[in-house]
Amino acid sequence: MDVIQPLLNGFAVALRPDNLLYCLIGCLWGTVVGVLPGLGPLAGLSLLLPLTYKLEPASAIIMLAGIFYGAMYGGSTTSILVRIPGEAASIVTCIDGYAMARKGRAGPALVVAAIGSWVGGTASIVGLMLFAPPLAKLMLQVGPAAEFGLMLLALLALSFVSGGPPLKTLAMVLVGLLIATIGVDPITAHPRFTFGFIQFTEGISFVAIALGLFGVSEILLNFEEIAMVKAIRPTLRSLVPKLQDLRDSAPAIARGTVVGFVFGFIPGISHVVSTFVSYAVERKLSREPEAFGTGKIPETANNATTGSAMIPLLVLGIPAIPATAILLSALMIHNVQPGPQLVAEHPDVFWGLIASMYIGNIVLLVLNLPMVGLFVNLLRIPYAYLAPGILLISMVGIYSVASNSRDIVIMGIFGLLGYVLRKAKFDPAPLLLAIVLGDRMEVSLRRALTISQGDWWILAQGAMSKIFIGAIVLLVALQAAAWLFGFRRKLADLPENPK
Amino acid sequence: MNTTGRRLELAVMACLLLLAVFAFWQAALMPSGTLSLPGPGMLPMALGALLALSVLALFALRLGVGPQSDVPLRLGSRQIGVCVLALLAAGLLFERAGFVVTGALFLWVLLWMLSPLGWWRSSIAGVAAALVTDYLFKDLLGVSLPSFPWTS
Repeated sequence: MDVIQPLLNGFAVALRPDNLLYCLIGCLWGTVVGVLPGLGPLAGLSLLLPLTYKLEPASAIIMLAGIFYGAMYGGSTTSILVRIPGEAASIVTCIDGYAMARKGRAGPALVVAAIGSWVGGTASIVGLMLFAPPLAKLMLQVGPAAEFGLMLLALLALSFVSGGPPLKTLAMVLVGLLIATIGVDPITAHPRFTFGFIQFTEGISFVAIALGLFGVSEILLNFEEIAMVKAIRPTLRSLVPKLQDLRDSAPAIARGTVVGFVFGFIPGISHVVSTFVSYAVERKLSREPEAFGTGKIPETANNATTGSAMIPLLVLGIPAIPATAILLSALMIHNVQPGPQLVAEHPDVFWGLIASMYIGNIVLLVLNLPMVGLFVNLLRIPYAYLAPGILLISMVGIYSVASNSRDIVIMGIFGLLGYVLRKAKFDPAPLLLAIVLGDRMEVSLRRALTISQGDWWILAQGAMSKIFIGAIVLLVALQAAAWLFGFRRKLADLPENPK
Repeated sequence: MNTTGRRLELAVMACLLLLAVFAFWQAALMPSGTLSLPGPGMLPMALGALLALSVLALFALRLGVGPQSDVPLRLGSRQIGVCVLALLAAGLLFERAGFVVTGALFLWVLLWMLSPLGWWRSSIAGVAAALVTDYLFKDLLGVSLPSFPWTS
């Protein structure tokens, strides 16, 4: 398939001076939110979302995507210099990155992390560019029955693979699906859970829920966790790595790229899980596993997920992680429907985004290292000043989505809910993704049943439907086997005579 | 508030169970259609039932573990309470008092309660930051924000 000509057209869009500026703003803001503890890519995206309303769709998505992958870069800086993961995907970088910094090798750690991030990020864009268009063509043949199967598969995968206890994740998915039913029924227009309030007929704002569950709740949690920190400050000269450092890290970067790209497809917390898997793989393959924890550094896999996480979003309209759910809502605000037709209907958006990601990754590599000192200085701002400012901008952002102050109240309520859920070890990410998919899932199912005149077998007819149903059955069987195996092991561990 | 991880988890599960029962009951009042052609109430009813089942399974698993692995947990603080209440109050005031008044009051309360600035320094910082934000978003970026109540 010819990707060269569309890619060149994409570069024509991305290299326009205004789009270059938006890409730069997105990358810088992404790095800042990645650096600052308590502001992940999701809060960063939500905060800048209102600024994109007046932009063209391509410019808006270029800026917002820049925040997404910029945050992945930024997270490594504080992990290495302060031992605070700016965002969840950088937790693993803390372990060895900070150990290297304490040994006086902060410079090489930062450079290797930056190069690893660049390699992972760029390789994943190549994957996005090669896989997305043919997948989009394939998905054009998918009817409502297969679409329902696909979304059910995504939600089940989220419940079983996302890392937390499956039953808790399933409960969060079900709560999300219930919230998605608030408003008028998409087929019959019958009001559901509106309790006579006309304001609820359009449902609850997804952006308000996202900003509350992740942005506000993160701020509330940080009041308990953040203390002023002392950062290790590398000199500019120390940023020049030795050839041996690069040679040593090259195989790990290559493996991290593959792990990250594969994990990017998995709904839930792929960018976080990929870093842990990458770390485990490196430790397993290492000749000196005992050296881990004292100065080996994986910082590639989380960046490699950025490109592959875009594939389900752009081709299927399914956000794999909460941050891409915000990108989805941004596209929909601009009347661009992500899905199989995106490549054909909005080539400027699709190819412009891909081209801008290549540019953005270079921008991040070039800008980040010389600006390390500046980013570290951001950590000096006391949280008592930072938090009110972030909340005020969140308020402006959420109000500007629908000019409705009710959304500020909803954001506050979901902020408190997110805080309590996270304290009780319930991950709110599946809830958010279920809200995004819930509406479409129900419409697909009911349309399929209308077409088949009530015959449920339509869900297992057609090649695509069969593939999705097969994957669902396999996933459930694997989960049941894992549960049974664990249960039997627990029984075996019990003392033979309980008395 | 001091509690334990297990107690909080059980409390959240109890709330989820109540939500499931409430959703099921409300959905039962909607037209449910038939199994072959579901109506608007069918899906919420199924979701309510599934949620109740999964929470009951969680209860069974959690209660089976016992309290031996429980950890003490601190839930909430003055800062968290102030933040949430200020956000809710700002939401109620936003369209009535306009952005500048609401934003200034919001920042004043938060800075006064959370930062070492005194009440008058916080009030000056709050008004200044609200005016700058208003100018930045409304005048420069064209974001629609509610005006002063006396100018509309």
